[in-house]
Amino acid sequence: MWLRGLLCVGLLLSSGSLALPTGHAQPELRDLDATAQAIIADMTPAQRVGQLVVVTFEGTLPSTTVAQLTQDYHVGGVMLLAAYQNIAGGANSPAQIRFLSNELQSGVYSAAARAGLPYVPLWIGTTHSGDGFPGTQITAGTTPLPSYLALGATWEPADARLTGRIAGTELAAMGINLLFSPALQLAGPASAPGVATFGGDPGWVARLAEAYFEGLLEGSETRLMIVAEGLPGVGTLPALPGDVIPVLPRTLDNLSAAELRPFATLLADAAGPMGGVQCANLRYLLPGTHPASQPPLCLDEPRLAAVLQAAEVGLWRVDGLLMSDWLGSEALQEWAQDARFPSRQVARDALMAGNDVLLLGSPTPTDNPFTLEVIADTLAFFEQSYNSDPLFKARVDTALLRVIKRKLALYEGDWSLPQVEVSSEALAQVGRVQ
Amino acid sequence: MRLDDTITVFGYPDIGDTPIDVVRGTVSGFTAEARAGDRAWLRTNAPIPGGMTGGGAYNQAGRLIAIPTISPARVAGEAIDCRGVHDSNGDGQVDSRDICIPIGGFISALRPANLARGLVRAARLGITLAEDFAPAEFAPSSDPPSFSRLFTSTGVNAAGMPINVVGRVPAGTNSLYLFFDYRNLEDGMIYELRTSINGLNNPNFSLPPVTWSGGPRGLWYIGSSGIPWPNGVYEFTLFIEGRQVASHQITVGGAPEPTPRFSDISFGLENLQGGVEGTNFILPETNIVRARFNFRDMQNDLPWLQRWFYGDQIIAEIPGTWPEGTQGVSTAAAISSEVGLLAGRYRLELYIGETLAATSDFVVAGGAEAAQAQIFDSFVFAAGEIARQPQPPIGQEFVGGLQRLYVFFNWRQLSQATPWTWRWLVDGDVMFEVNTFWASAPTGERYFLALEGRPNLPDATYTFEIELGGIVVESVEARVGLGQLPLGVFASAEGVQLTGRILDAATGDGIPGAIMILLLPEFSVEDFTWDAQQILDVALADERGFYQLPSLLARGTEDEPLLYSLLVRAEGYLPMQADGIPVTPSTQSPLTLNVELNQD
Repeated sequence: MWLRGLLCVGLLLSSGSLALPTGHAQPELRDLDATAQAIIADMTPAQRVGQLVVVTFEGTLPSTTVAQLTQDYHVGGVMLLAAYQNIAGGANSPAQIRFLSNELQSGVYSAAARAGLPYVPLWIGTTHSGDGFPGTQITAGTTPLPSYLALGATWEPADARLTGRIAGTELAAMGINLLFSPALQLAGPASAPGVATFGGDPGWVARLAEAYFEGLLEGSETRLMIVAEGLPGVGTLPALPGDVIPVLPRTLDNLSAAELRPFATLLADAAGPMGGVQCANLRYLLPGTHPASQPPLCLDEPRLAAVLQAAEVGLWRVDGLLMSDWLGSEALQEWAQDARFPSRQVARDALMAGNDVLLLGSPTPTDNPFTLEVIADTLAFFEQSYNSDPLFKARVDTALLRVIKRKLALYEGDWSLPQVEVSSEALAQVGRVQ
Repeated sequence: MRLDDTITVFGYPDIGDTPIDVVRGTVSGFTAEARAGDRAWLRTNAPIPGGMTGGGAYNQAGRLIAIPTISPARVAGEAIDCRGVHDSNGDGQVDSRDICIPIGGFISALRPANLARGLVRAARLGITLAEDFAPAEFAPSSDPPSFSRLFTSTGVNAAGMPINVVGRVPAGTNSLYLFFDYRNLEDGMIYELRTSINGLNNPNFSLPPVTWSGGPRGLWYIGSSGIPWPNGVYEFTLFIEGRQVASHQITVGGAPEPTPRFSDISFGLENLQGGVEGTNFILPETNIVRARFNFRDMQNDLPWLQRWFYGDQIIAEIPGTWPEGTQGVSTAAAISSEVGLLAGRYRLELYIGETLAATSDFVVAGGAEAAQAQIFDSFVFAAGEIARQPQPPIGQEFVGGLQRLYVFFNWRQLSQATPWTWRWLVDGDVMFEVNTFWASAPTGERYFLALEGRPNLPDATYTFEIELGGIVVESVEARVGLGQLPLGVFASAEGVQLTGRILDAATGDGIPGAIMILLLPEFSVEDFTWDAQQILDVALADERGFYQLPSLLARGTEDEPLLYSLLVRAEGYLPMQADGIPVTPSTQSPLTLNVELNQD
């Protein structure tokens, strides 16, 4: 069954319909429609809904739990975070991460082959925004990079590009192919973004972030899916969403005039460097409505749609992914106030609100309600809804097409294992720029 | 909450129109009690007047964490602390000749808010208990209520049983529990524990007068752990309805002494090798029950005694001399019956010499499945019931929109008067819990209980649990709709935010500390009797007179708006009150309401 998908890829490549430059370069996404559709046609409903979630797991090794998540429940990706002990620490971290990512990819590949299903590469994600932990998860063994704020202080896009190139090279060499970056955040009167911002001027932030993102793609040879965090902007928050859903003291008009401008600038180019944006679990001011009556933005379809419109996503959204914030965060748990976290409803509402990919987890393992059992239950519920609810199915299909195309683009349409795995030689480049 | 955390208590210190009072203090400890566990009561050093019962205690994050709770203290039916608050004899004066309203002394114990959380949540979800099997109730005994057989233990096991019996504990003891039997109590009676150390009353280790809810009879405890008990001679005195009914003394202090002792009794069935199978407090019907217990600092040939009870009756007394050496685990205590032990509640007391050294209760019920008692089975969920028969749909998955959910089950060999607890959980939250006594025939079919939703039961996972002897013996669940409560059902914040300023009418300056009290829509100012139950919420003005009511005001309809009443109080100003503030779907939120007060 899955051969059909790969065959299509092969045909496309051999027919030259993808104008691939030398080296790695992402093909035009619109040209991947047919290939993606063919792959999706061979996927089971369980695979289809599984591809829409990214999860966390504990440990530095490909444990049984993560094997079940990736191979049995077909999750689309995993996050590697220091808090989950995914990163062993020490100078060997890059080698350990490369081993882990390769093992995860090959495990999924083998399981798909055994089951006669299409192989879809995993997203292996992290954060790497400089200035050490917590902005950067893999701190040991990688090149220490300056904070965005330090780069912003240079007013020099070339420096941002160079830093991005170093980060991109090293991340790709470890098998990381999904990067969450707060680079589009504006520094505000409060301190939420900390030093993870290029500054307070929307124009400069956009310019420096674009250079930085381009550097990431150059360094990784386009093997990196970049997701801009924090839509519609958290600069005016005193702290990042923690144990409560914060209210942004801004109306949508205020946001359009400032915080959303870097997003709008970069999203204006549908073929720009960002593959996705991530909504933030917050509320903003809506005249005539008490903020406390609003659900968190990532679960709030009309307000999320309004934000996307204000961010002028336009054509970018055809293939651009919207990713949810952490759906198991302490703030969401506090908001739900349910003794048994309503995982099914949170996940369903986030998907139906427009998120294509759902982060089923929490930044820290101690309060993560998305255990293996809960993820399995949520995906079983998704599968059931996919088979019984036409609206839900349509939403899944739309999101899935974007996901598959973005994954195809990462590997120029070639999902063979040697193409997806990273070689040990690449590691030689990691941590060498001091 | 942790020790030394700061709390703020709001409430009405007096009866009448005395303004709301704010008291700050810290958490000074926790009191344990049967059924509610180690944090049954939160203790504070805040001087909370008795009149503030029913108010709210908040943590520094502004979250309600406990409710000051006290019942008027009485001695032999007379209130010991009361005040004349109105002209009851119509002589034009409020004085000592007027009726004295009991208000209680100072409150030092607060009920953690989480213990009331289930009921509040059930009300918000519109869930109530529906009709049930309702077997005949026990006729209340004509004998007076009593507490008896007082003893102390340094620990409580998972079944609520004492781990040992101690008459003296060494210095540094930080865990001590007073156990006692209770008989003929009725829920709603007032009970109290007064503790004195070396003859001086100590409120921290006392329990102020509170309302009984433990059913008519059983074994109860009050105590605390985690806080050092100061050295001294403790006198525990128990009261029911203000009457002293029992007391017990124990000494804390000195060095640990190697006195012979027994502890940690558990029970099991005897296996073929004479050993004990299982460790439990609920045993199936059997011929032999054997106890397992620890012994320390014993000596061979010491006299010891096993005393076994069935209900209140001694059914065996087995004296002996100790044969098993200094320390270890013994299974020497056992009781047997050739015709089988009857179902019911049993007790074992172990004595060393003539001193009670350890005791524990257990229940014999149901048939045996391995070493476990199988009492309840054939659980069935259904949407209806006719003549004690489940009506379709029947199963564990129900489509949404269900009005009632019944649970049926069969039972066997459960003797009458055995204490049992049943509870309904909704998405893991206990919404209803009933501690009662088995009143049906020992064996039967299709006992049923039910929940009702108004208008319908919300989508959720409904769990029904049965607990015997402190152990959950059955837990079954059914899913309605999605199997999860609707998102934000408890976070529902739809409504109108009331905000504004409270100002001095003469100067236009804000009045810091002014209090805005908003009543529930069903009460007018005239109806208001300073009962906390009538209040929707309270707000305090800040240093510039700004206030914001924490709760949102529910809206009525355009035709029938919800009408709210409010009272504003500030020291040095004439009080202000108003009725009929309408809130409709078109009311803007926030609703700004500025209030001007005239100086007194």
